Amino acid sequence: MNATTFATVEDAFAANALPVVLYARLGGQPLAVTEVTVHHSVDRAIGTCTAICAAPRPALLELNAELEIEVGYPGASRRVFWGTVDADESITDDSGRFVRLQGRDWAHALSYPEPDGIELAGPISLKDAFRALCELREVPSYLADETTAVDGVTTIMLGGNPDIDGGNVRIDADTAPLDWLRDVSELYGYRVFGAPDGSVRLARVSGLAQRDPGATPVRFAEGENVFRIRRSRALRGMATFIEVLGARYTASDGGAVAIRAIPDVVPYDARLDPPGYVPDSVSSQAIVTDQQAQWVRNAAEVDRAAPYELLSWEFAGRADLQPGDVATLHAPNHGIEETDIWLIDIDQSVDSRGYIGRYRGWRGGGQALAAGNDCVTARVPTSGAIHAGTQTIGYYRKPSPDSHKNDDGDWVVSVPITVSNAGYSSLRLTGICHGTNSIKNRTTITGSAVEVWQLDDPSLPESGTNERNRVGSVALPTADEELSRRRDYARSDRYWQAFSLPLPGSLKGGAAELRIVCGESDGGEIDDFELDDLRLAMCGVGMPVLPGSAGDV
Amino acid sequence: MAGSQTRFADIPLRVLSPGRGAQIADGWSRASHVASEHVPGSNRTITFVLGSGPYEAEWRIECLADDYAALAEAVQTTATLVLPHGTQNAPGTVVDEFGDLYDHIAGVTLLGVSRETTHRTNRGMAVQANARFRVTG
Repeated sequence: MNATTFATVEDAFAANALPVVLYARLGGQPLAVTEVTVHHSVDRAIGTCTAICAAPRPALLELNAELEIEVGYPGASRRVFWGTVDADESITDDSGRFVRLQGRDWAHALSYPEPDGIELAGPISLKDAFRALCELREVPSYLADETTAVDGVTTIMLGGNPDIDGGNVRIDADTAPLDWLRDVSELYGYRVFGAPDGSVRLARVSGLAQRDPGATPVRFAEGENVFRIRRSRALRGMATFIEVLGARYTASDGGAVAIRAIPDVVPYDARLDPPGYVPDSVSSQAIVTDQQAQWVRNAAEVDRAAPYELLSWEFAGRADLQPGDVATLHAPNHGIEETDIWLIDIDQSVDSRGYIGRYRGWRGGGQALAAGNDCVTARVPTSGAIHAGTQTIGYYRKPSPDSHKNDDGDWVVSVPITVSNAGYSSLRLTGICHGTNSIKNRTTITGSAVEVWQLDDPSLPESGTNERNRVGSVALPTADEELSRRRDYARSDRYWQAFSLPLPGSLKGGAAELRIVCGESDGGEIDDFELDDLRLAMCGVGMPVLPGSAGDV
Repeated sequence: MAGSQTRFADIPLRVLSPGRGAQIADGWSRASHVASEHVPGSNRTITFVLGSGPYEAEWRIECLADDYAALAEAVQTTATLVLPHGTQNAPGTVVDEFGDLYDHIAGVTLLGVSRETTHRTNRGMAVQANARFRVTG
């Protein structure tokens, strides 16, 4: 007669008689425990453990002592918890005297803020940011997937916007690295969590579950190795029109910028009828580039464009499984046939019921959508080029000047515009120009600018109580005047210069006025210049093609 | 209880077999801790083997009245139980006591005594009772 020993975890998993082994080490020394429960989840960053031992408290038992739990079967046991004791209590009741230990795994090393905040040199990949923070906090064991966008190829880079924290990634003094990591990684379809093997992991849990190349996932099958199973589906949480809102900041040219990403077309989904789609938004100041916003949008679309489908089951514990692993589930009575799913929760317990593993799996789904245009661009209604100034110049596109002298003595051109949507996050004037803030042959002056004026209430006529006010102004770029060269501005754009100017101030929806103001040199010469192809680019107001709307496909 | 070296701690006692008067009624037993879970939709049942419980025994014993009083006081205490060698299966140490072999089983807890009956013997009043022991050491 030989004591049962398994050569592999697979062998144990196939056996019907399973001798359970349970080992605990406290401060590196063996500790006799009678029961243990451990919880790990991709959605719960810190893994936890509860263990029971006989009272009185062992001499080894100090708060913050290292605690390690190993369970399984002879020859097939694995570590299922590694961390420290963060609480204990001794209890006497009719069931006896015992001590309950509470443990938390090493992810807790990331759970307190840095007094001065943390700055990571950017741009930096999500993976490297995770590794840097784990190193900073001396996490004993950590493991990171390659962090890529939904395409599986493009590395997710954080930071990189020179107008925000100099392009670096900053974690403020009130934010724990773990909170930051959890929030940021989730934006891109990744999770940060403590795993039963004692490592802190950054793993992709997004989209359809994909097994590692060459790996055969653990298979659970109804009628073979499942004690109980359930499958649930819910539309709650489903969203097919994802709007991503990132950082709002002032660019180096003074323009207000708000990062935003939307899809081009929102597909119709009969499960969401009416109206056939569900909108939702994801916002984070950690999204600092348009590219990042698109990655976040794609990840959210992949994960939320399908009903949230959870599968939960129980079987004999298997200590080599980790959250974030892929398992294959076969449950024909539940409509699941040989389907790969993400393991998102693993709860394991050893007690009088034996060694039970309780698993929750998520069948990812959904599809990323093509990017939509977040900006609405409208041509400024002018009849061709605008010649601001006072001189008639034959080689200009429009030789005769449009400016008139206003009551303030400024030479201006008034251009009426309409603000079609007051909910914009940034407004820019784009176009081409030549000769701005420059006279004669490349003599730089100042004062040529674009001012924005609007009535207090644009819907009412101008009156003593509804006055026209200057909302803001922005200087035009310096585009060299080249008098002696007499450039041919009329027939081509070759000698024109493109510009994109942020229009300051906050405009209401409705009528407004652009005033193109001519600068004046110290000698009193008025700047002559031309503007053409003027457009107002209003960002933050774009909308995708929605089901049922014009342009629906 | 002349000639008897059977004792718990220093309290002499005789182990009776109910109705038969043998020295030892039944051997020690150990609970086998197992848990079973059936896999629905199959003929498969997983049996978790969780180990054995401690040796336990419950015997009918007899003591003189004074000794029984001491035994009753000894409930929930742990001591060495001495039984004639070869009559039990719990782990113990064989000791030669004046030519007779005895098993000394250390770390035995007297869990309880019950169903006492009193009767007169030629040595005085004696008490018979059920005594439950567990090897806890």
